Amino acid sequence: MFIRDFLYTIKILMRAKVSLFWTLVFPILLATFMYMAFGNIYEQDEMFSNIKVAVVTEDESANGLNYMLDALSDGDDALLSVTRMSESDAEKSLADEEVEGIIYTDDVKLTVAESSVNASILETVLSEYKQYEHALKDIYKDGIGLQQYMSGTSGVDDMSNLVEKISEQRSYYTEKASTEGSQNVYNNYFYAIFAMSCLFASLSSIEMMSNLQANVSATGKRKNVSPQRKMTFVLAEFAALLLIHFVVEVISFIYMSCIGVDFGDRVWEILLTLFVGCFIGLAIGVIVGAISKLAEGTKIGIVIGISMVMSILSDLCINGIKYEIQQHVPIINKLNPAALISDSFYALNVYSDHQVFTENIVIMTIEAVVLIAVGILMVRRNRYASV
Amino acid sequence: MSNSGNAIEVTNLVKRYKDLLALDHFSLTVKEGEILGLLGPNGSGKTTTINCILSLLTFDKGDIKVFGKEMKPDSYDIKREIGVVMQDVAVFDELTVYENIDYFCGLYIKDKEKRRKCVEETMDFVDIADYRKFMPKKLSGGLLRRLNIACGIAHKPKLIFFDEPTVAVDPQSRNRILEGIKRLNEEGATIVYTSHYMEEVEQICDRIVIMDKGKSVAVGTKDELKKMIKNTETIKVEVFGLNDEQMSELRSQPHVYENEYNGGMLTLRYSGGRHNLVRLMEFFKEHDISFGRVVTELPTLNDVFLEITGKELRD
Repeated sequence: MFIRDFLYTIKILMRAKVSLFWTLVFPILLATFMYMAFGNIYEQDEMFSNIKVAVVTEDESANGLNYMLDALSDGDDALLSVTRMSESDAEKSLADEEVEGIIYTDDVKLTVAESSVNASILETVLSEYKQYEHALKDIYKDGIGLQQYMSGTSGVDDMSNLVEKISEQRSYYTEKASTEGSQNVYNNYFYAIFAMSCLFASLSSIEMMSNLQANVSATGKRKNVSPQRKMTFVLAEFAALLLIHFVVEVISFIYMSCIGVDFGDRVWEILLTLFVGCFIGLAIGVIVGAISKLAEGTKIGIVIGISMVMSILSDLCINGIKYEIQQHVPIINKLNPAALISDSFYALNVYSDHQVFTENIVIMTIEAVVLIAVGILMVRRNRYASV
Repeated sequence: MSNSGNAIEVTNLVKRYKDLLALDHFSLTVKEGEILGLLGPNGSGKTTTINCILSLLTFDKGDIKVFGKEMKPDSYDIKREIGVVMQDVAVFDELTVYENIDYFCGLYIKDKEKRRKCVEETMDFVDIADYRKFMPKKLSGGLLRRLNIACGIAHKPKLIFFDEPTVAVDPQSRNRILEGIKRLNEEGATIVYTSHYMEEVEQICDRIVIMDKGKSVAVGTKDELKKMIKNTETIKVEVFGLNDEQMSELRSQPHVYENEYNGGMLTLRYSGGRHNLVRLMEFFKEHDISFGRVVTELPTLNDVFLEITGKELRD
């Protein structure tokens, strides 16, 4: 009976094309909109392009700033893209917005077209240089002799060595990454989409419970007069819904990964999170759907409200709410399935161990089992006040 | 199955919906092998009675036994022998005709081969086999009703409830459904049939319970019920120019207990008598009264209902 009901429920769900379409499209649409909304911020934060700068130098060999600029424009992740040119060409390039600033190395001067982040960076570079230069000059006065250095006849090699030594940064601690995953704050929104999508599975289980109750649906009447236990119906149809919603979430996950959302590389754990997420989402629908005195529309309103509130509390709309709750009322985060789902994603992406992830999965599973058990108790052997 | 030979025994059933008394100490016995009709106007308590028997509804007072055992929501052994054809069509829109019947039959019969046989036979029985791959939305109202019936009877139950199965059905499909119910009964099923169509109940039921306001107002075969009332025959005649004296003479004829003359139509109600029409014709001849159309009617269940409750069955 369990397998028959399971298979027939799968068949019914697959043929309910409108409902299936929206179940699948909803998280994908939401993720797409979210990605479009945050796309620019996301890319700006992730990808830094070097600053194009024109350098005007009368005497290249005699200026320490040139060494520094060369160092800063060297390599794949260079801060600057330096082009040496004459003063007139540099001014023209700045006017044509081909460069963002002109650095005059002889008198250590900067010209920019307008205030901007990049202009501030260039200004910081020159300030740093000036500080180093003053420090070096003070040191050099006592050591090699300022006269020789200023005349330019000797001391250039000594100067460059000194620059190199002073520029060398030593670290007295070892940086150890807890994970190789992304810690981008915008990922929280995508975690929350999964959380909301999983919780919205509750709409399906409300319909399932309606189809089981004689006072709500005609098919419910048929099932109630049959010699089958309600628990069998609930479990078989729940399993079918769980499978369908899990597949939908996996498709959404693949889609989001394809558009560039970085969920890390712990795929099996992510799949487990989605599975348990659907489990708890459907379980919420079971308990609300089991309240026989409410109309189906009221039940739908209740679960939509619950899902929205839980999702908002887990950072769907405003990043940081979950953190504030964690600071002030942490128990809410420990009970809120949406927070647990998004936190599981976060934990997988950020922490190297499984402690937080496992804890979240266990809490959600316990919550779901309790909700389903209570739901079954509410509907089993039930007679209705009116049919 | 039960020692008493009764499929259903309902005693002093009371069901309230807040201030409304839906069933007022209602009692009912359904004998095994009979077709029992529950007849009454809308809201008289027919469907409530069935829902209480099926353990779908809570009730305030009373006892319900089916096949000699108390009926409860977990009386699975009893439920296995019951089939229900709902007033509302209860099928899945996403399943085909065959799949719908197979699904509901599968709630009663585990064995796949036995179930397949039952489904095929039932499709033939309700004459819907040609539409086996159709989705319910593609079926006409009559076919949909037949599918609804098939879903309720495919497991070959011993006791079948038909709750107004012919509502919104065309006359052709209605006759087919009624014939089918007779055949099911002939094959051994006990049937409880509810309707507010007295013609249907008269046509197929062995015994009839007339309900009104949650009470049983009369029980018996159709002949027994008709004998309960004064009226045995009603004669209607198109006649012109009857005067008060003639009306008075007609009223004094043997067995006439009521006469009226409205808009050229004379109506005479008789209580007994075998040759009432002959006597009336002789009266017209004696008084040289010309007449047109003559209609003679035997009492109907509506007359029974009218006389007992003071209102029409279809009010």
